[in-house]
Amino acid sequence: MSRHVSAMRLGTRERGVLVGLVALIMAPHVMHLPWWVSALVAALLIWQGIALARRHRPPPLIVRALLTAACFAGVFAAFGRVNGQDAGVSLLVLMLGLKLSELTRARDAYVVLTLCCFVLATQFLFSQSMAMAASLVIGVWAVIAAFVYLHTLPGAHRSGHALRESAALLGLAVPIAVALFLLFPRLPGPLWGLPANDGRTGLTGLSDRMSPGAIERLARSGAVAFRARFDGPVPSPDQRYWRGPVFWDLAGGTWQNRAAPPPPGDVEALSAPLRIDITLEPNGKRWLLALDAPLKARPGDGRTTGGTLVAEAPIKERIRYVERSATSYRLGLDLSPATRRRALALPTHGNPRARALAQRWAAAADSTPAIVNQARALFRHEPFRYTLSPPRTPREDSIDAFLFRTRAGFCEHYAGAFTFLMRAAGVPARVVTGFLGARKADYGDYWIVRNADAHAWSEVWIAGRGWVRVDPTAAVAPARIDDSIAAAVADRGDLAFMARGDDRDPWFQARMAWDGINAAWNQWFLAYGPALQEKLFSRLGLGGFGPALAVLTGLIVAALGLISLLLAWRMRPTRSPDGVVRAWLRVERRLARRGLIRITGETPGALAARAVRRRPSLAPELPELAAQYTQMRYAYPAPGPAARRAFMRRAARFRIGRGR
Amino acid sequence: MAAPRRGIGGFVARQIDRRTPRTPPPLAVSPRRLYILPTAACGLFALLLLVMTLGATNYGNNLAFVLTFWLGAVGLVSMHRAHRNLSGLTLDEIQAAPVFAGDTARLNLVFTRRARRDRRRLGITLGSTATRFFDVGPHTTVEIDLPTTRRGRLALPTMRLESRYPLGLFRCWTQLAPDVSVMVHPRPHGDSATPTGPADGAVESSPHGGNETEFAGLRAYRDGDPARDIDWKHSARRPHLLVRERARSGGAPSACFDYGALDHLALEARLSQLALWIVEADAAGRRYELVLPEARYGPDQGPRHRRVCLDALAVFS
Repeated sequence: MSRHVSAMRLGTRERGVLVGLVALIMAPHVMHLPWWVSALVAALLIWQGIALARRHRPPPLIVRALLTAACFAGVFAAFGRVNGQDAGVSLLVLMLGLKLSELTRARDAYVVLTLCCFVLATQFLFSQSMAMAASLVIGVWAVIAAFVYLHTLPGAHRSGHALRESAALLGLAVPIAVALFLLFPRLPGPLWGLPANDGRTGLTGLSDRMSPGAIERLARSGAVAFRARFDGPVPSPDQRYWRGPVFWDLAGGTWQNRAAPPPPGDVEALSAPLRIDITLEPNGKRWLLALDAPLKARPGDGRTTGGTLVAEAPIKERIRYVERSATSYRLGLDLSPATRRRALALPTHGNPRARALAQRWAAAADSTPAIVNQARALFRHEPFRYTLSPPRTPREDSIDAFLFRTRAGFCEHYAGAFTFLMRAAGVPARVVTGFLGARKADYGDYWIVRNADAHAWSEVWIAGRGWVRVDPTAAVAPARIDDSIAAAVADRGDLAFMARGDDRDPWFQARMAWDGINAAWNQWFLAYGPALQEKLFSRLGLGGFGPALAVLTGLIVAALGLISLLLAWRMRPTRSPDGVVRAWLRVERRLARRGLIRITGETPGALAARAVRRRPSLAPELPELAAQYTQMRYAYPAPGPAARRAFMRRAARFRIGRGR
Repeated sequence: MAAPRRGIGGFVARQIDRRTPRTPPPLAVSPRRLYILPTAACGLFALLLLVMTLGATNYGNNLAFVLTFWLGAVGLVSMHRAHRNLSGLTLDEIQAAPVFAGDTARLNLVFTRRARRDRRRLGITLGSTATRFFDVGPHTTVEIDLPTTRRGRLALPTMRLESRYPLGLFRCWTQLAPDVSVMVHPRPHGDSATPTGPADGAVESSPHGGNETEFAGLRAYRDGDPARDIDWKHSARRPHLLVRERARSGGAPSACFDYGALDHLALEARLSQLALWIVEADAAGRRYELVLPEARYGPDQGPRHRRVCLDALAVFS
């Protein structure tokens, strides 16, 4: 019978609904599929729409086979593969488009609907924004409505009914889905590896080198770098340094790490540690940004010599982690001779005036802090400017040009020049990049750090104190430290809109509100995974994953058992206090076992007569019993106990033979 | 009915048959006799959910998890909805007009639903007929054609009432065994000459002359009696309806169709011949009497007499 139904032919209306559904489901894919795939799918859809309107027959098998082969070939030519995220999704979408050309039977419709669900799921590989969540709701509503449509008879309100029923089904399913989402055992992925071509190019973030203009470019972006939530006191503005990559080597005007950095130094907290919950946007690098200086790395993650936390692998998904930091700390008290040499190394030539100046300071000063103060004084008293668009400096002797001629630069110019001067004066120094500042979100209890907050500063090594942060920018533009970049730079117009942080602008307000919603989405929905699930389980008092599973299984078994008991209780036969009734009911049960079930309203006499018609061998015992039973129940005066006992004995002896 | 099936399927079918007593309408669809099984489409759907769960786990993709779990939950809910689509439904009545053997009996199945919600796309299958799909509103009549081959009382085969609504992932079904039969009359056929006069010994019973119909007493209502003959005044005091019986008298003498007079024919041929005579006489508005070996009917005329006579032929043995 099931064969008949799935082999049932689809009508024009049903096919039209399926073509429309496929068009709807594929629409969000247009954003990230190659244009030719989108165009081809659109052409297939239009073709099928016309074929439906004109009632064309499906194209012959050879045409369909050729088209399928052409799609495979096209995808292979474009991607060099047929699996993987982009290629696989392109192929899936094309196959779904082609499947529409052979919609004839109900089972084709099931295949299309199933593929639609799958295509819907593949969208989330590209984005998991809230817009995609909206697209999920619309898509799943449409797919279920199409399911319902196929199982509804033609009529005036068919599609409206299908949409309503779909909404009802989805609404009723929400509690189950929520429970599954929270409680379904989550395994830490990946199971078979993430695709190599994940299509995420152009991630911006801190680079693994600092060349002039790099941070400046980053600072023009208003994009969010990460969001932080402080579990406890919020550090003062001048303490909001977020540590990123640290650079040791200067070559050709660029700070970088040409060799592996020296082994990490120890961090000793001098202030109470802060717990900070960070949601980091993907940046394609391994840096895990943390408030200066981070104390503890996540398990599996490491730490560079600069005290920066690094992840095991480049961060391509938004991640959330909790780090502990101390704003007052001692970092790398011991400096090995090799590390010291590296922290003092300078190119063999170039920038003679800067070197000469540093050597003069070294000769005059008696301690390292004195040399540092000399440099600070230089930046403070000479007419240095802090700007987003500094004048160009020549490749050769660029530090000399900056210090003595242009005197206008962004933080990387100051940090780079300062570190150069320190090394020239014989003070071990290095460049630290990261972020400075954070803006409290208008909606939600968290702080936003944007790419515009990108910053560079220096660290000098002082005996007995370890690596000490010196921010030369503070000497030039104190507002940068205490306020924001928008307050510090003269040319605010060059900043990204969101980086300017103009509270009075309603558009800015709206964007902040949206950011609040997004942050909540990221923090509470997207970040929910094995780790948070375990936390939830332990908060529910279930301990780890194993006990949780056991408790859940137990609960489900208990619930099912309880339901069965309840049903059994509700279906229990009511026991009559009258032995005569019980005796007759036993007779009825014997009859029922042979398929002779008393119909509602049937008298014992009628039942007996019907039974005898079916099984003549029951006469005359059964009709007599029935008559006697009626006597026992209704005769007046009521029969005595002896007669009742006689009836009960006779009824108890009643048996039905095997034959008729 | 199909031959008994072997194996597990046959065992299940027999168990279900055993639990389905033949009962005269109205037949309520009992939730205890509703069976629900996943369909092939459900298998495909389950495979989809499995693949999506694996994919979502691999990519740690929460929106994919949401979609998977939501679809799974909808599947579960749809099972409940399929059940709800059938339970609380009643097959109130089956109207089955008599037919001649070889014709198709047109059955009118009258369904009512207990709860106010409409039932969608129920499928009903009688024996080996094709499944017929219908919606049930407050009061719905479904017409089903049942082919007949032989005269007699044709008990309706067991019916299967099923629903795949709303998603087609589950097939919920029940078996109904209404204790209803269709009277299949012998096919009117034959070429013997029509007897016109009364048979030997037949007595013209009407003492009255002329075409008038006259009151001849009251009797219990029988199916087919015209409504205008009901004596409402007297019926009001009785548990059943009473009908004024009229003694009809025709101008023409009544014909006598005697089974015994056709001894040159085989049994079925005789019955067919008698049926033909009855149909012709009735069409001509003549009075006639049917004489069978153990009974005689009439002489009388009219639709009820025709029905009585044809019924007698149908069950004759």
